Amino acid sequence: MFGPGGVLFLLQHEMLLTWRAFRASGKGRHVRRIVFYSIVTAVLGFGGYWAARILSEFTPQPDVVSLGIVSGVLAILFSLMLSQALMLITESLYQRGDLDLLLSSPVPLWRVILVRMSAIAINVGLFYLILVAAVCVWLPHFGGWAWLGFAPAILLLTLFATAAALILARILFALIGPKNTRIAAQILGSLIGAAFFIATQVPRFTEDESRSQAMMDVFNAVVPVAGNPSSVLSLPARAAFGLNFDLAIWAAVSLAAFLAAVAWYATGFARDAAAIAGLGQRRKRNTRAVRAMRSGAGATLVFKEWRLLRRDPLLLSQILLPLLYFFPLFFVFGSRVGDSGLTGMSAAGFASAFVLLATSFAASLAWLTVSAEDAPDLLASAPVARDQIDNAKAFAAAVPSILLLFLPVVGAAFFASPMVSFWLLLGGSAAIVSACLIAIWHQTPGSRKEFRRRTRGSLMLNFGRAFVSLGWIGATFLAVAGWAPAAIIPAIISLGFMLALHESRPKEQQAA
Amino acid sequence: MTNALSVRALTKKFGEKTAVDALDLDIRAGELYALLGPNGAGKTTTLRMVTGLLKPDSGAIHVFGTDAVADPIAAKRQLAWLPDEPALYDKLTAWEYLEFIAGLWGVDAKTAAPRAEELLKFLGLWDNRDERTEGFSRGMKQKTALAGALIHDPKLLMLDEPLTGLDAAVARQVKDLLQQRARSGGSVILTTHILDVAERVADRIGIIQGGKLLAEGTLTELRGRAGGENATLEDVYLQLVGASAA
Repeated sequence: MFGPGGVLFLLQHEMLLTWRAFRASGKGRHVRRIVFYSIVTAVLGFGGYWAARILSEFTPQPDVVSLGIVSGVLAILFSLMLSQALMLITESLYQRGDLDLLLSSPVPLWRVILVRMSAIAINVGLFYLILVAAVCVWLPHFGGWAWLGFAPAILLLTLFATAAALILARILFALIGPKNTRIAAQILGSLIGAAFFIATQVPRFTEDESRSQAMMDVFNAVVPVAGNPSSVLSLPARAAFGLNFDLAIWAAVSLAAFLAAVAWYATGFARDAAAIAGLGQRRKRNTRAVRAMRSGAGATLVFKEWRLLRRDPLLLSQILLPLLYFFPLFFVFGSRVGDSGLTGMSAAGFASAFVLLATSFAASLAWLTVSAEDAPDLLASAPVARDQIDNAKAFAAAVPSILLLFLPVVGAAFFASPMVSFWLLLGGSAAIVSACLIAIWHQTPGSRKEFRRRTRGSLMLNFGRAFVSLGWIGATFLAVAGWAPAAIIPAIISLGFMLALHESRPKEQQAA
Repeated sequence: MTNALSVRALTKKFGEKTAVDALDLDIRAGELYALLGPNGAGKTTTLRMVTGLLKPDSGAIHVFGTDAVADPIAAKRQLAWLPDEPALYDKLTAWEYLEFIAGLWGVDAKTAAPRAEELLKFLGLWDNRDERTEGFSRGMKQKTALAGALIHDPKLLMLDEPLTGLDAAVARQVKDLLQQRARSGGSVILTTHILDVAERVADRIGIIQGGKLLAEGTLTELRGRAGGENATLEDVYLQLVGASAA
């Protein structure tokens, strides 16, 4: 177990790689990092101190209501952990890394998988471990020993969630095959992760009185089941309260589930890994009649970007899924529409939400087209001015974003008024153009595979981006709400931040 | 007659390390020139500066008389650069890749299409023209990139280790293409560490180390420097590089 090729040897290797990846993903200089982590530690320590102090004044009462509430909180944590673990597990199969090396070594397959999945469980649980630890370190100081059971209960939940994710991944693989599993897992993971957030907004559709009644109904239906001390569903909560042998039972259940899931996953792993490896193989396609070519650098650049986007469904799903998180905003504004229709504040809310959505979409696309170039040397060696390349790429990002805005613009003209439509088009277009220009001025070169890390950059840059977006959103809101003269103020703020971002662009961008 | 490439006192430093040290180099029009040197000698850095991928610290670069530092766009129109790792787009087909390159170099579509067909047929990729390059073997990728480098009919073709990782048949195809290109009046510079390739295909050979040109000439001239007409290029190379390192 401890020697070369043993479980701990391999786990140490995995953790080393994770740590290196974490350090590589960090931004800024060493001193800035130290300052950042010092602030995070201080905030956690301070928050943990007060949380521990408040908790210690109460003795945990594992009655039905408390158990029900804790079970609910743990269920939310479980869904978030499951979402993250599912995405990490499928990615670990597709981004093979050192998988081929490990599989070709004389180390047994089960050991490789056990270690890899343990590392994923640690990755998933680390965030919660840090949060829980920030509180737990203070609990003994205030005599809050009775609350300490929450820490192991939550960590065991990580193992249980990873086990569930393993089973889900295996089922997905069997049902839809290697080609689609990656995208399906990503969509499913995001849906599971967002499910709670979206579900909390559903009651907003109802009237105020019936809303509170509906919430009470849900509470009354869930709590007696999830808080029933003899129910299996309340086992994690009972373990957290440290009741009888419940923590030991929960530990046994989680560990057994994890090991069983790993064992089941391992049975089909070699076949699944081989199937994924085969995905890169060339597939014979029918050749078509020779097609005419396009002329001109601008047109070929734009069509190249669109082709690359269209042919990467994984990337497309990554771009489109964050839009899912905007839906609650529509629910919020939708709940205000009422009988009076789409007028006044509700129209302003809708319009500004669409501007936010279009900005986010444009910023994602612009990063892909401008910064995530697969062959930067090829473009740099071409007889085309840097400005022309950047402009064509920004255009490739702006057009789909404006098309996305087109539907709500038409909808606003139909359901509200032509003026609402006009302000939405103006605000949305300004926000999209701003997002594309910022992407040109402050390029953060990276691979398309690093899409999730596209927002890395200086803190000031991210602040600037956020304020520019907020300015256009605010201007659209005010203009649609009927205070067009007041909309000039946030618009000027946006333009001011744009000017600052333009002036602070790196030297090579200024020379271009 | 104007040189295809003329480099004067070209210098590039990376921090304290001088990668290219006041290099002078002349490549004649219609010549196939091989630039040899050990790893880190400054071969790739030199070519990257000519291509405009790196800015020289000092010195002058002229491509067919055009100042590549002052007017990089005009210089780039006349040359093509093929790096050792082919820069392709995985999700584009071979045909679309060539369409893209032709567009960048401003080749009219009516000229580009038959040229692409000719190149793909010559390189044995015609049947694969509608396949995405993500599934191509290393050799197929290298040939696609080579077709891309030739689609705009450059006057000066620069290749960095073009035969690395290619099987014998593909390597032969590439060598034939380069020789054919030089015979038809095109200028070619290639860097390689395969001395046999330089010996067989190059009109002239330059040996570079520490960013400086140690020797230059035809194989016969270099043999003369090594002191024997039976000496191989390997003997010459090791003698020059070894002496310089000592």
